[in-house]
Amino acid sequence: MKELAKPEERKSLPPPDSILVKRAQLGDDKAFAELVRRYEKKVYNICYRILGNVDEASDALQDAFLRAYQFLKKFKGKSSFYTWLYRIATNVCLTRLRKRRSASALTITDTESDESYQRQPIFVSSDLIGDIPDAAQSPERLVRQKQLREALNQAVAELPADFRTVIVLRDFEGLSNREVSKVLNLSVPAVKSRLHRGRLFLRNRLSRYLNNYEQI
Amino acid sequence: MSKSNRYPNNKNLQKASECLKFIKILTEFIDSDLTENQLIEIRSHLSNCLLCTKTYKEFRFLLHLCQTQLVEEPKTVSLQLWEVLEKRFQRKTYRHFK
Repeated sequence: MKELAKPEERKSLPPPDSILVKRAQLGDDKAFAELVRRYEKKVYNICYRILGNVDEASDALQDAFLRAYQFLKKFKGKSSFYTWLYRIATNVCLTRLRKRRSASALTITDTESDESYQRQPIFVSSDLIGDIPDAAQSPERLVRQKQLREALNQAVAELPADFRTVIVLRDFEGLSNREVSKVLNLSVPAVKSRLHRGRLFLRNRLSRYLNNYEQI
Repeated sequence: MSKSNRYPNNKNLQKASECLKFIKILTEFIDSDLTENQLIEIRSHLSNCLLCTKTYKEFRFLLHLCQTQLVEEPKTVSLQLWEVLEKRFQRKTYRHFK
């Protein structure tokens, strides 16, 4: 038989997003601050992956939460709060990418191909390196893992923006196809198509490493 | 890989088109988003095609990499965010009392 939680334990359960949203909509800034604490890292990850550098990701993170604060009263609760928040963050990032592209178009030279222009090359630092759980960590293996992770970061940075947003939300952040479709205002088949093409792009870029992935 | 053994058993174009069909729905297969019939078809294809099995494993590995690669948010970024939000909260309070 399932045991009931003691009163003090019930009290300590964190309130769901929907309750915090309602409180925040009524003007409770502490409730909004709690929502920020919950999603700050996730939103930063999305911004960093789409924009590719810390400074721009930091600005986008601030913009996203300020907009969420400003427009929270318009949030009707038809989707989950985080889907709505991720949509704001993604739109902020895409606007920044568009501005960057129009700025670079002013300085583009005749020697640059259309392909490189489309890819919107971005700076990628090595501070993305995380940990893959791995029992046998020989120095050579660690070097290979680091190289692979850097190559992955570079490949993600080179993805066309339309594919990058889908890959970031689906494969890095673990949203479902339906959630991604809501965030990006796309149909589910369109999400699947972009996801497939994005994954093929990454696989082709990383083929050198993936051919020997069992050694990595 | 030479052209002659690109496809296991070096069958024919029919084999190549089967592989192409598999690649097209690979994403759905990885995400467990296929119908029962498609699953049977693909499993049968995979058991006979080393090249597609290799491709499938590479995609799974790539997905694992994405899922385990986290970005650490720098402390300064978080501090800046909270500074901006505090200012925004105070502005509202000030307006309220005004």
